[in-house]
Amino acid sequence: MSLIVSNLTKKYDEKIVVDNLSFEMKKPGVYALLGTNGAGKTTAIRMMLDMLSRDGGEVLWNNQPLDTATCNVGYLAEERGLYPKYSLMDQLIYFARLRDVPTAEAKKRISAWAERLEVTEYLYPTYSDGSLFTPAGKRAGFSFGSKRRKVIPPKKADQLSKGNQQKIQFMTALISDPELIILDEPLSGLDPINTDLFRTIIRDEIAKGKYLIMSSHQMATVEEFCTDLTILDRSKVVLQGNLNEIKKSYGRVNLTLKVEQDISKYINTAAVDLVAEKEFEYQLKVSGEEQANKLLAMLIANQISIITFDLREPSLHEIFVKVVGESNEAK
Amino acid sequence: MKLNKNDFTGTGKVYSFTLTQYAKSKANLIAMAIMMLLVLVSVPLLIFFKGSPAANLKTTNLEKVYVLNETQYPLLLEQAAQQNSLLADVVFVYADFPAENYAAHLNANDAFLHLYKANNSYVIDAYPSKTSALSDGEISQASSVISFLFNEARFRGMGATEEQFAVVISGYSSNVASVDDYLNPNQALGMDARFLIQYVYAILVMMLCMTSSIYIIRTIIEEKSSKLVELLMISIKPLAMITGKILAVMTYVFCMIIGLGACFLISFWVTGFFADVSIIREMLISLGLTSALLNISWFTLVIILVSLLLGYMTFSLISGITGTSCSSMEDVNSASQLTTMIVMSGYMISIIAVAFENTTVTLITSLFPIVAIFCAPVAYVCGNITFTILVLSWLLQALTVAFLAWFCAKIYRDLLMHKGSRVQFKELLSMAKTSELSAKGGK
Repeated sequence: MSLIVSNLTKKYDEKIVVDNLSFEMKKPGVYALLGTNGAGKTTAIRMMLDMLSRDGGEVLWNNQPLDTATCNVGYLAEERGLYPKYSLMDQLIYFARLRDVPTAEAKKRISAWAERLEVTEYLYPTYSDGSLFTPAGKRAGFSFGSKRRKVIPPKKADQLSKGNQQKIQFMTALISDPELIILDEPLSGLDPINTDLFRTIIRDEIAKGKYLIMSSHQMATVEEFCTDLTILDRSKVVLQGNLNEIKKSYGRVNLTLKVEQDISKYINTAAVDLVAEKEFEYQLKVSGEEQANKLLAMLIANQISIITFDLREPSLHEIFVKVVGESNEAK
Repeated sequence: MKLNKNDFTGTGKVYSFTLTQYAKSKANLIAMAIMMLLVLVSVPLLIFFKGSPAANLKTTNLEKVYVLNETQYPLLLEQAAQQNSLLADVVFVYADFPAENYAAHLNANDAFLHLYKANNSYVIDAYPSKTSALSDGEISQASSVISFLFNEARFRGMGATEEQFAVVISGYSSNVASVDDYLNPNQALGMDARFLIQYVYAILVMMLCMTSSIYIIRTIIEEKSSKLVELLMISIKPLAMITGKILAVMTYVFCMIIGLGACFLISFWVTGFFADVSIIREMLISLGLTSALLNISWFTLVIILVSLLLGYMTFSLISGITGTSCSSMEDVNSASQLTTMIVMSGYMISIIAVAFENTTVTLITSLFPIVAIFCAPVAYVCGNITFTILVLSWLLQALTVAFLAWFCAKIYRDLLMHKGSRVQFKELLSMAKTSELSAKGGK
């Protein structure tokens, strides 16, 4: 399986909003589509999924135009929504049926996903004591003289919190067990516990050999999952390639140093840039390994106790800021 | 842009989901229940307020009728009870008291009739007692009998024989007809009947189209404002989405109309056990509408159904486009304005056109697509156009539907993705043009 996006272009009147975007996914994994606000990421995704007409380019899945007929796609849109007044279960079954999942199978999958995403109580009727309603339970719970337990119907979408709505939307994206999953800002608005839950699920989908395209402003999350990426700025591609290779090309320039005393004078002597300092933990920017080694030698020679010496490549966040900054300067 | 089978894949799923949700909606169920209840009580209420027609009284509580005859013609009151079988047990006697004292002599089931000459004509005034439980129909029957006896007395007074009297009192009717009506006496209905049929049918079409449009517009805007469109568009084509919805609304609205019709029939049938419902039939007959004139058959019903379907499709596609051009629920009113305006125009033209009674006007209104929805079936049923013209009218309407569907297919995807203020007609045309270009080049 492979995904080929070539020369995708979109114009509104004379304004180009996506300019010749091309990339390939030849193996399963995560491809990151990054960019500033209004760079054209969502428009590119919508064009890929045939929601918007294109002014140029094509998208191939297994060498065939990407279509609902040729590819089972799961999509978590940036603008998320559910029918506010309809039953959540009806909606999930509807979305599953639209993706040709039989109703019985859909119900099984919904049950499994509901348990995993901890939303069972919102999808199924419950008793007033919080336990799940079952017809057998209703019969068993009834006896003369005993107080009958009240059955509470499941909630509607507009009665759920934003995070729980997002979980239901995530279910709609994955209910058809898609081959290609496109996630537009999947973790925005989630609390840390649910963020971890979503991250685990994304990791599992990668392990299952799925193709994922992720667009996000949370660089740490993207960095955790993606192998390849494209950075867009004002409709144009400003950086593209394999994340590891991109990082290598920048060299190991981030130095974290933790010591037991003030080393400011040695930092100045070695002409190293100080980024931040907190209780003798220094974040430094070096020109390369040679400069870092020079500073290390100086500290050892002066009998400074070193707790941490960590020399790393720049983070995706730093690369993004640098690349976009350079692009803006060039303009 | 070419349409293919894939464009409609998933229509059935959208249809069943939309219809199920309509059926589950509490608001819809309550509205439907209220409407059905109103229709169910309509016949009993009509009978109650309108009362039984005099001609259809089966029994009477009238016991005694006092007649004060102040004319020179003596009445044969002993024959009065024989004139009307309903009044066979009623006693007719001459009043031996003046008119102003009548109330003191009447029991609850008695009536007083005062026959006198005023200027150059004769008058019969009928009065019930102050505590009367008699209906106007019962007193009217007694008054008719005295009127008959008075006429007989007058002719007898002039020396007319029984035979001559029979000839004089035999009824007659008058008809005003055009030359066309005279040459083709069985072809067309009278003006009043035609106007009534046109009026009733136009209201039916107007209700169907306006109710459907509001449902369609609401469903589409609800989906757009819920930000669900993108999620749906990865599973089905836009055309399948709109077609499924239109069909679901059509089923719902047609079921509603059939349900209300069934409720009326049930109400009519059940009321028949307790009261005389012939008043409704008589009301129609008095307006010139009889089943023989209307020639209602299965064929007529098929004609009406096909016409309603074409009308529904036309207005639902217009509603689909206007609904999709909006982004929020606040735009529902402005979106439904256009459809309402077109429906109202069609309705008004159809009503005015009937008044013209002109063959050319009938032909034009039967063929012009939007107006034809209201006019063509009525013109055919009333015998104003031939079946060939009706079929031609259907073809033109079908072409309009096809054109709207084609236009919808071109712009619907872009319209669904449109956000912000309502798209104007000029922008719709521009979208269609852009869609054509991208179909040729980009995709």
